[in-house]
Amino acid sequence: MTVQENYVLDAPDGSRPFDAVAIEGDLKNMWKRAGHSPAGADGGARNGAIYRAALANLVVPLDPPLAPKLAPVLVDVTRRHPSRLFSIAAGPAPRGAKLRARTGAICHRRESGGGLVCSEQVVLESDGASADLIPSAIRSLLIGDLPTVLLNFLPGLGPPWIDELMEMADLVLVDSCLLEPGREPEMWRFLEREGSRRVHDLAWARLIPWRAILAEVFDGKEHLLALGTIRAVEMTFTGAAAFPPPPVWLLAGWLSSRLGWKTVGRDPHGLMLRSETGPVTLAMRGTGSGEGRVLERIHIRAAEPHPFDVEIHHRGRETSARVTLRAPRAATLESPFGYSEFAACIVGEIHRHAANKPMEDAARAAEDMMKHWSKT
Amino acid sequence: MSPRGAVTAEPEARANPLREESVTLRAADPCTFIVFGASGDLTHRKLIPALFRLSKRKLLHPRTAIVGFARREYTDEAFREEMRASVESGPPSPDWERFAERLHYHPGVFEDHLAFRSLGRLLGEIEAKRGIPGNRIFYFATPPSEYAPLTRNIGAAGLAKRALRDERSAPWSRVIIEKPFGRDLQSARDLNALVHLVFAERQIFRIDHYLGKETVQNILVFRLGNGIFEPLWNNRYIEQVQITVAETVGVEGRAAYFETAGVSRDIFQSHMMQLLTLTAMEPPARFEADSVRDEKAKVLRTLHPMSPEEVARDTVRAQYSPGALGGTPAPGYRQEPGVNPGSETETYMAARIHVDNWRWSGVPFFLRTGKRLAKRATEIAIQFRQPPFSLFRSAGCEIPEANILRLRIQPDEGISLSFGSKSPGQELHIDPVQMDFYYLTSFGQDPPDAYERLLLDCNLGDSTLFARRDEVELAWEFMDRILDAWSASPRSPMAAYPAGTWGPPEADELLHGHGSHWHRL
Repeated sequence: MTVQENYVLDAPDGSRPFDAVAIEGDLKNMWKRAGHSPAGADGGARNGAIYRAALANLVVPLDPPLAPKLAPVLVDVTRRHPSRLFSIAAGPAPRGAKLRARTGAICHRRESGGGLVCSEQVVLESDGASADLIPSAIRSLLIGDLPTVLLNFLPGLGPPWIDELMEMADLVLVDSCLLEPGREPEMWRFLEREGSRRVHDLAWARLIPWRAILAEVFDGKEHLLALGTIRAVEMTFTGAAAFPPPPVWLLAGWLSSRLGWKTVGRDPHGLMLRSETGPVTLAMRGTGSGEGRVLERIHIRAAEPHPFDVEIHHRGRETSARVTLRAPRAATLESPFGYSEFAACIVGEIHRHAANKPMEDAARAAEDMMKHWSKT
Repeated sequence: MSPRGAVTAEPEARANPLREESVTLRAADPCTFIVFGASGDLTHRKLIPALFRLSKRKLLHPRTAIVGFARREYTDEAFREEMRASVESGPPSPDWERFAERLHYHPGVFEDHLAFRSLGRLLGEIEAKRGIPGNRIFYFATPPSEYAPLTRNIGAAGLAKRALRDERSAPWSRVIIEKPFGRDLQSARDLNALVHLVFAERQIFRIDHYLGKETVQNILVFRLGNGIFEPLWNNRYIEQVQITVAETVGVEGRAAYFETAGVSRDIFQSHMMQLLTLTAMEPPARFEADSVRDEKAKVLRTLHPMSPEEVARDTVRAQYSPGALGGTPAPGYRQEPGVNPGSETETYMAARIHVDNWRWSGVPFFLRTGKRLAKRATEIAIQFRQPPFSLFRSAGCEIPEANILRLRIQPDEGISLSFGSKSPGQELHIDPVQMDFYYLTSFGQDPPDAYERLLLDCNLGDSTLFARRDEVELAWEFMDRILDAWSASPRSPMAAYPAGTWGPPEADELLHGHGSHWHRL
């Protein structure tokens, strides 16, 4: 695998039956070869020294259908946060193949030029029967004293060997967007049980720019008063699905928990909530087109005595959002929107070490909303 | 009951409940950077590359504009082309095309008030066209002699708005001033008074790019973000502190300025004093601008004021003579182009400084800086006291060196700790070994450029990494005693050192009385 401006060193020995001592040996030999080859082990891509770097052990079980899509993300993660990367493909190996492994490295040219910064990679493959051996294999290869981060890209909480990896990890990153619609609360309850300091949902991380821009919209004293008289919130996401994606639920739950709203029911227009000053309707709908079930627009209206009408629209990977204010006066402006690539979201979460009470509150409120949503 | 932070009908006294600490995005306001001295070296080498990288990384607001102002006649197009040479070659990249749209130019002389009125009209047009709400950052990338006319004309033309109490609701104006902030205490006070005629203190960002370096910021994180170091950070455990800012370059086209400043004003009064304060300061109450700067100012207040006798004993000034650097012959300072052949300007300064407070009483701080030294290196070395009892002496074995903690500012940014370890074998030998942390190999990336960080901070209104008026004046107050003694006393002669060495032997003598020596870099 070679990605533009990235260089992958693959040990020439290829995949072999798993043996921890031999794998460490392969890694050492790979660096020896890279150090002695004037052209570099990547056939000339190198220009300058090779630096082996590791800030974490990054353990990534990959669902085979998702693997091609996520591989470039992992390459980008190692650029932003060099790690010893364990990529796990459990199950696809032929029956009887048992546990196999191969080594390699993912290297990135330094921004200032002059050499490559490399993350070691150990790829583990297993047949179905030997998947339970994966945790012990990884345990034997972890770099001591570095945190272990489990990036769980499997669609669900998974089999026992995943549970074992979760116990082993200092930090677990999950993505409720990968779950079947309606099953997100299972993940959020798991997160609450394990503690939001140790388990993070990447769906929440995607909301950071939305939460920032919403906070900014209401920062002014005059606008702040309107938070108390909000009567309608409408969120639009891309795609045709009837069931809103997790980030939309979490943002709705966040607004509800921050503003003290209670969910009371559902009508044809959406969910019915109640604030201390009156009713609030919450509508969530797909655009019917586009990909990815991504939040694209939020429209908030507040009533007298503090009328307010604002619509925030953000598309794709744009780094600004259009904020249209209709009341108390009309104005349109482009506001910075901290869109982050997926790898940046992941690394941002790796750097966050605190418990996440706003997320826990938002998830509880979202789950309550989902119950009302499903009643009709 | 409403949950914590919930909004009721009359939330007058409440904070925004949607504003959480966890949302820490640094969103820059749209503004116009007005760079005075736009055809100069600083603009080419530092400012435009830093602004370009910020733009490329989407950290500048999409509507932000940059206006260059200098004497030279450029069109916008010619200015853009000239600036492009400082960031890329070959055909223009898409990133550059986007950045170039932000760039404008206005020719003018700093003393010409009419040029500032015309600049005001241009700014109005750009702001209207790009939807910038009047926010302006004035950058003085000029020799200090131009600060006075610049400030007067900005004020007279009404280009800057004086800060209101609630800056969020009004267009803001800020000014970035490059060091040196004056050449002595009186001129620093005069400059501050002048700038204050137009700008309030919180609008003034005195830039010392050293403070924007990641490793300098890491001094505080290292000290105060870890449990193990701060308890040792005092005279009970620390024997001495050495701070070195060594340059291999000479005056490099800055002879006219350097002849009037010397290394004492160019580096010692600014960079070195900042490194000293960050090393010696008490933990601030909060990590925000005024708390941090209050503590730095306190250190400057407790510096032992040197008498003329102490200046003669505890400071060394020197000038480089011809030598060789990295295998290449190097001229002496007086042979450099533009330097007076009889110059008495110092290119090297070393000092033994005492911080008269509870924490540091009795701990000497040795500071040295110089041009054309053997290596380019900046570091702070904390030397710890030896163990109270030498357990291994009976085995014929001495601990060879004290433990030294090195904070490397540049190059190879990082931190290392040296300690003694038994070398392998039957006999008991203790050898010094190192534990190293390098930014590059740990984080896989080089620290970002200091100017990027500081320009963004100014845009965000965060002045933590900029010098405050009292810091600057206190540093000059300390320096003035040394400079006055040097100029008045024949007991402070100019020493000499060959280019490419580590300075004059007189500087080594500062440490001899302490049974010590300058650490090898």
